[in-house]
Amino acid sequence: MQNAYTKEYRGQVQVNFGSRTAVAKEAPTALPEYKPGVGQPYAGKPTPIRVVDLREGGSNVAVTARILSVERREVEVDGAPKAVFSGVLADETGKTQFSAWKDFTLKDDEVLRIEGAYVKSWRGIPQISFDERATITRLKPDLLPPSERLNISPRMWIEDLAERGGAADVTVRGILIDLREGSGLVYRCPECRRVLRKGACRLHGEVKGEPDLRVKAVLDDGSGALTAVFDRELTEALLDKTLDICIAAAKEAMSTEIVRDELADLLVAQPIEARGNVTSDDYGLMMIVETAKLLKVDVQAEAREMLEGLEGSA
Amino acid sequence: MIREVAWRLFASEYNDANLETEGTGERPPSYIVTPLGAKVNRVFVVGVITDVENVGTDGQPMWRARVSDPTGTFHVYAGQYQPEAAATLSKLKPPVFGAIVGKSRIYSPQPGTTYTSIRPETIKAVDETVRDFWILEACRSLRKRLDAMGEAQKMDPLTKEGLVKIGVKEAIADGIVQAMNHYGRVDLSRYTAMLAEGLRYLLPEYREPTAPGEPVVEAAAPAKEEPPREPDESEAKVLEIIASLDKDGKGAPWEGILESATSKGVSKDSLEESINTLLDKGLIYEPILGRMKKI
Ligand SMILES: [Zn+2]
Repeated sequence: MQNAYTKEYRGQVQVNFGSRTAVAKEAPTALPEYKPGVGQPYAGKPTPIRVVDLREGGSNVAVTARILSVERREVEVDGAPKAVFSGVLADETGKTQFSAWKDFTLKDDEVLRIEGAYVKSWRGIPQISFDERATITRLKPDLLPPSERLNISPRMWIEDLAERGGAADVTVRGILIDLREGSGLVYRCPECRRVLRKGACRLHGEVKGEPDLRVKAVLDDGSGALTAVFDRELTEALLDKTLDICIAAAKEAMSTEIVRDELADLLVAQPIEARGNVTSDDYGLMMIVETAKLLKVDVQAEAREMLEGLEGSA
Repeated sequence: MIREVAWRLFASEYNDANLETEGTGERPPSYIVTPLGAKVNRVFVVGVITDVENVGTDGQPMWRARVSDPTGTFHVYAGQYQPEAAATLSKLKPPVFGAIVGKSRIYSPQPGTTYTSIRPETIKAVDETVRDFWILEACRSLRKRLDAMGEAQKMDPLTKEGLVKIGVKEAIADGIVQAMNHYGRVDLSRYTAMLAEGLRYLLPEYREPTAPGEPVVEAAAPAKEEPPREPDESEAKVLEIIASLDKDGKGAPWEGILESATSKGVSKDSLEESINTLLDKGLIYEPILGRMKKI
């Protein structure tokens, strides 16, 4: 490549090809075989980054964080057993899962500077990894707020979640503007748990479905939208009805629509606060809701405050 | 494909818009850009639904409703191919508070005249609490755009990158630049007044006592004309193409329509315009994404 140019984008150096760039093919032997990820030494200084700014593909980054939890697991890498130390770390901007591929004797609650880490998405959520290339410096414990202050679910705008590509344990406030197909009383394939359509599983054909309750709703906060999935337990709580009662009601009405309609009546157009993991893929964002509540807002107080701000600045 | 956000914005700002733009991609979404730079494909509005009327025929109903907020009136059209929304509308007993999620539409019967409307995806009768919360959200959204537009008007030259640098989100920055290029320097005081009006509406100390459900003051907007239902010449051509390509009854694929139209001398722009108008007139619909079907 000739006449390419470099740019910094979100703390990463990128090579860009413009209209003046010339590209020619070289023999495949011109470079040694490329082995991605682990093992490639980093060049240059690590880039300091806040947890909230971690993005898939980031490499040679430096974070200052507190370990909220860590545990040792055995995994298999290329057929050989290997120990990985994984858990959750956090700074004042957020928290994230991490995986350490070397035993740094990490302990709960300690504050560290990790230099030479990389970011990879796992199940649609960016998380931080580091290995023998990383340098760990132990810092004073009072450099960051205590664990119980860091271990909260930060409130985020959906546009920021979209930009970030998912996040673990966040809180979103928005309006459930639509129920998606497959909300309410559904029947699942006993083999693969997929929701049946017209009594048939996409993979296993006609099977005897097992009843379940769920909500798949569009949650929109005015900055973006995500699909929020509520499991049976949450749906039962929202309806204040058990699965058995829903099955009986559907039988009587001779249609499962009755459950869906009741959920739509209850939820559509309502402001809610939902907490959970948000994953990201080609179809957008999805939150697996852990807890949810209908939001009660003091509209008058907020309007008064905004009006005062407006008159004050005028 | 990432789902389009549902904008909360007041009728008065929405109805001020006369700029339509297109996104990118295989099936680019269309947007209405307001004078404050809201780039609207989908809206979420809550207001008082009044004047629900079938302006189509019994065989081909087209339900029209007016939805009033503290600043003006939205016009909502639901044809037989928005069956759920049309059914809900036909059963409503106005005046009633209603929440509507829908797609933004703009219709221009002749140069210089544009009508904005909403093609509803869902309609639901709601209570006053939901409506009041919507007004608050619409106010917050408006204030964000006012602040960003205020900054934009100070910038010379105005660039998207410059706006992003001072913390304006990329999507909003994009709309602001397009709005400035099209509308020029808009008078922000009009929109600041609109914001104050919206906020005061929520506060009992400013509010006239009204019974719940009572229609709110209607802006003295002139009654909008019905879009003529007869297709014009190029629309007729497009209708014919759609009918001839719809071999399996599932609708004509977009690529095929485009190819056939191009070969008949219809440009992509005028094809899209015709399709939008035909959708507006309720003469075609989109049974699934990327396919058009004649009604
Ligand atoms: Zn199955």
